[in-house]
Amino acid sequence: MFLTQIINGQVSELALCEACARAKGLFDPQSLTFAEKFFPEEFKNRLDKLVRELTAGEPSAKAPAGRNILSRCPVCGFKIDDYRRTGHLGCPDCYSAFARELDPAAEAVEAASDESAAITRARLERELQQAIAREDYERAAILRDQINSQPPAHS
Amino acid sequence: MKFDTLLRAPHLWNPDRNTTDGVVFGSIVRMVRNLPDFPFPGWSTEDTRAAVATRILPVIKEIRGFKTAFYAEMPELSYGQRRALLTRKQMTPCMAARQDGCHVVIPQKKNVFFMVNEEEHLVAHVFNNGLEFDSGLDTLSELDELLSERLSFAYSEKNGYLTSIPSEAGDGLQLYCLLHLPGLTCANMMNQVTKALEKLHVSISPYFSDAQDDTGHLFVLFSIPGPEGSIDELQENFLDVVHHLVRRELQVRRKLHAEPGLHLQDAIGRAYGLLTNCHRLSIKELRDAISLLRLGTLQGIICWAEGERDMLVALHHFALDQATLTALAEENGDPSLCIRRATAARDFLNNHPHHFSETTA
Repeated sequence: MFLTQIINGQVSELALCEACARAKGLFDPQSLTFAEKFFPEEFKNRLDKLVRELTAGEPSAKAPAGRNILSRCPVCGFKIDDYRRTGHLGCPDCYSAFARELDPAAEAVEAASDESAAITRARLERELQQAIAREDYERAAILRDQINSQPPAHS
Repeated sequence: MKFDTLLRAPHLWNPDRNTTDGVVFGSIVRMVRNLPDFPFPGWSTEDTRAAVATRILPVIKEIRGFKTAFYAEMPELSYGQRRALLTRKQMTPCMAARQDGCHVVIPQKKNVFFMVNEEEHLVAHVFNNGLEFDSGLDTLSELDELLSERLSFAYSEKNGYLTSIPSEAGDGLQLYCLLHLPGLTCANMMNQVTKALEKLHVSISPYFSDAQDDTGHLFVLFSIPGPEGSIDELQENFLDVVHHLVRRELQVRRKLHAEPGLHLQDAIGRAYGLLTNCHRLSIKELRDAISLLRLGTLQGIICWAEGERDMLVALHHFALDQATLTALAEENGDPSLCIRRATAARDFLNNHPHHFSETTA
């Protein structure tokens, strides 16, 4: 979905996937138009806020490193699949058990961090192969140590 | 307190024309809390729900005014009684479907009631006339303080008060507003309005049921937990939407009234004719007709000897009383209900002198 907002000559453009648009309440274009006409003030405020949020970037929430998605809450036995199906949790401890699932922002930060680590590791491995090929063993040893110091890639 | 005594208490809602032109007739603030060591009610066993109730109920009983309240575990209430409480908004649809280990606590003379093991362990609703969210929030704040002295609630720094639905975690507060929207309903605009409201994180549903049923043109508007950070921001945004919706409803009413085809006047006249002449009356017919009489009163089409404001309240209470009676009587399969309802409607109009204004008679 593409959304263009012009305020005082300043153009803000948003491109949202279907899931994000639905999450932001912007899925049905027909009702969007009606909302704009029927509640012009409130709709403009909501849209301004949305534009500010999206242009300011993702929230700065960070999930603790090494946190895994559990498939079942260890306290009440509630399954993550049941949460995905119903939108409900089993007990207050499910919040920590399913923390990554519940906080997509933190998950995105982690995913970005994982992606960045994977790219770095691939670059180092490529450079290591090149160093070995040209028999530069001093450089290869440095690169090997750098690769070994990288966190293991998530599957 | 017995159930019958509870029902004899007058409705606490009086449509307040001074502030909202007869559109808003009440507001509700909902507060939810959970105990930290128990599964949420939807995922708990009968024993766990009983243990939660054993912890919470004695604490509620000690709050001033609640010792003599109406206490009931859900299996003790018949389905008719549940429907009656739903009609009076003294129970939620979610609670009405609950069974063992789930309790309601309703005092007779207070505008607050509790549900234990509804969707959350403890749910409190405070209701007020008009758009009085501030006093509702103050009441809940006092209750929260009293409860917190004896109970600890599931809370985290990051999420606030933890709830079974993660998007509702935070303050644990939600706002509801009860609206009479005959203008938008008669103009067939409610579907569009519903979709438009969703874009503003506000939802609307019919007052009398969860289904697509606009009977009586009464609706419940409620805030969907969304990006708002605090209850103040949520309240501000919600009030903006309510005031705007009220303005739109009034605009549509004026437009319908001014139409040269006299459709509105015709609909109100037909509703009046039905109430004064029928011998059998369904509850839907009664609700719709009373709604149109309220609209006719507000538009100056029907004039009452008792005064407009008093009659708006009387019409509203008559419709709700009939709905409550219906909920209780339907359970017994009473075949004379439609006849008695028609008689009650004729008696009501006979007991309240009125006339149609000359311009529209």
